[in-house]
Amino acid sequence: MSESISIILAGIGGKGVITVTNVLSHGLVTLGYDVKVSEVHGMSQRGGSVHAQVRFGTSIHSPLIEKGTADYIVGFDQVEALRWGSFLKLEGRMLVNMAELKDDTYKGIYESSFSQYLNTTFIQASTIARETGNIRNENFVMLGALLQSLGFEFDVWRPTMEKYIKKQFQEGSILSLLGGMREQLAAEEKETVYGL
Amino acid sequence: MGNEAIARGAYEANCKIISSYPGTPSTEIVESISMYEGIYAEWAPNEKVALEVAAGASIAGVRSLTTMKHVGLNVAADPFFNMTYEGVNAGMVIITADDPGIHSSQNEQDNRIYASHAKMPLLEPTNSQECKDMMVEAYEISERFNTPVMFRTTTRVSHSKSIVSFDEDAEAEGEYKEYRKNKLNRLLLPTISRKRHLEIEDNLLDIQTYSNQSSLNAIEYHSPDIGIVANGISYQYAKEVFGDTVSYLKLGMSYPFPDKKAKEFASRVKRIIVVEEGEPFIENALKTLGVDCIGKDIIPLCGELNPEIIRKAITREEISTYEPVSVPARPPRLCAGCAYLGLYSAVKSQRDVISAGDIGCYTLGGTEPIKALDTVLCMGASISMATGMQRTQDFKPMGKKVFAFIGDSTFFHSGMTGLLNAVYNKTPIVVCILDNRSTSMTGNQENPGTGKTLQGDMSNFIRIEDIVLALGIKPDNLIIVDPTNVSETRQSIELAKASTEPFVIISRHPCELIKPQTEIDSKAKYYITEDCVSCMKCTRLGCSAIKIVDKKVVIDRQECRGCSICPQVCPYNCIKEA
Repeated sequence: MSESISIILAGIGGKGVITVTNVLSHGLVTLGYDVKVSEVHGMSQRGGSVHAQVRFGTSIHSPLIEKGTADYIVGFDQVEALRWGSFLKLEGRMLVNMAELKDDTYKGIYESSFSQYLNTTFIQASTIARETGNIRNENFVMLGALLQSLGFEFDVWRPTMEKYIKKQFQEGSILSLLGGMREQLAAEEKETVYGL
Repeated sequence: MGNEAIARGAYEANCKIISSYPGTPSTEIVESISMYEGIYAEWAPNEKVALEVAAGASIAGVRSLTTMKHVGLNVAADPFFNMTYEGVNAGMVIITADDPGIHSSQNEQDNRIYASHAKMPLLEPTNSQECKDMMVEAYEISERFNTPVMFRTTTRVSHSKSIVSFDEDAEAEGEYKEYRKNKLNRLLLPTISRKRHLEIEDNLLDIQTYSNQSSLNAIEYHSPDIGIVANGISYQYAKEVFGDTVSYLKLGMSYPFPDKKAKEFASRVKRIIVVEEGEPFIENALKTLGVDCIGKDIIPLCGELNPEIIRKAITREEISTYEPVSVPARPPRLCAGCAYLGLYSAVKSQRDVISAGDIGCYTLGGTEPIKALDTVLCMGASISMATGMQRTQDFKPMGKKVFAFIGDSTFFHSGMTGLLNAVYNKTPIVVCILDNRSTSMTGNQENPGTGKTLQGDMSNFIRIEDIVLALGIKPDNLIIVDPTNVSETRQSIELAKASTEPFVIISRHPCELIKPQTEIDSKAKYYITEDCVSCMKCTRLGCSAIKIVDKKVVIDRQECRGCSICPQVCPYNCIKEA
């Protein structure tokens, strides 16, 4: 792992971006990293974009990520992933929720917009969340994909999930997270095969 | 979060009394501190009142705190300036949370200038750990030098999170100060103030000595080529970009300016670059000392800084990036089902109305697609500005009636005096008080109209209609209406327009965000029938549940709150209960 990892989590208000950010940052602190988080959510309840920036490593100074330096962009929504595209490192990775769009505010063509990024994984987060019992857990599917891509084992995250998720939602959230990890693992294996 | 760390610091410093008015990005300090046992924390109706409550506590002998956003200090400026003359008994800290980049404010003022103007020591943390630690030091400085201390954060310090180490079992401890009656230097009469001014100037020299010696201002010497002088979050950004390749003078206390330390730093580096957000506060201090430096020549004065801006400005380097993709902005909008939508829908069809807006959620009524407001200036200004606008028509009649739109919390904050003025001077404006029983924009804080305190305890329930009548509005000139009833709202607007006297409409409906989920679930949701002719009238309501998908208007079931406003505006009766 390089000295520090920078992650942008981008979505829309009410979709669980902030919840995932809390779990992620608390977990990273538990694992002994220096962590800085910057959130913009003042207008979230009024339908605005919501994003959080998480940086971790041995020693972190800036809570803000520089353009062209993010290792990951986790898009809880396609439009929001594209909004932050120029923050991604050239060799950085996009993880994008492919949930169908209710809003046709974006006039471009998604496929061609995403094709410029070297490493993109599309995740059917709504399908996976539905299979694991709760359509509202798309956010944890995305977190699972991220943790897998970062090379973490689930076991080190179990205590964090148990500490920061309310009891009644724990099981569903963990199942969704595991579903996301599996999906990402499968995607990476496929890439390896095609890459050869 | 920086704000939570500040609360912890105040607790550890044995601060006991906190009074504030909510304002982004300062709000969480008070919310967080109210969780500590043995502390009295309250929401005040405005920042001037809050600062004076804290001042009273300090004089009486208990450490106190008041917090506000940058523009809040404008409201509290009168007691703020005078508190330096008044001095303190127990320590007092005034927090101003500035908003460079204007994330959620009206302007981008740099409140460090307030500190030097009021001759008050200024502390600035650069991360959450310092937020906690420097609060404790702020109280020490306050008592040692008999002065309130200004503690300045910015959005990126207040709202970002970094690790804070502290002793969870530590208990607040310290002694209270004895109160001595009628110490004459607390009476700011001219004879006393003249004497105090001389003392303050002497005192500032002592505080400057402290500033020179304090570790709050620290030199990090790495290389003689470049020396960066920075404060607050700018220091962290510079450190991110340059690491240990340059030397730093990190200023945690830039007023009174540490002149000796700055000169020492200047003597050890070849070139000095000042990295600071906002005004050239440090740069001017250095130049006044005769220290040659580069600052605002290359670092922008407007907006929030970030590592990228600093890198480009100093090294001219740019990191290669992916081409940005142009996607539509998602501007903030009023919530789906917000009752204000009903009122604004009724108002914006009026061609002979000028609408003065105010600060709160309802400010969003001025944006697309509602566009019902003509002006927004500052807290409470809607009513006073409306008075001025109405009065111009004595000279150049426009045939317009001027309406003011103000929320319940803003009315308590600084709307009441404006209404008193309109009544006293008989200016026939119409004041719409948008009473949603909450201070919604900052996160649903309690206020005198909610009948609850900061801690959620039951309190006196102040009826806005009682205040309005007490201010002199005649009972015939007061209407209370539920804005989700659009036709009644329209009728009251017509009545108000015809009035030759000051008139008040209280538009009352609880905020959607404070309604229990069961109430929302129990409401019938709406849908658009096949007969829809796409006249788009409902889309102009501004409800975020009404969307255009595949060129057809639809109501998003998930977002619909069942408020019943949209069927009332559909001219073809195509919106039905599902």
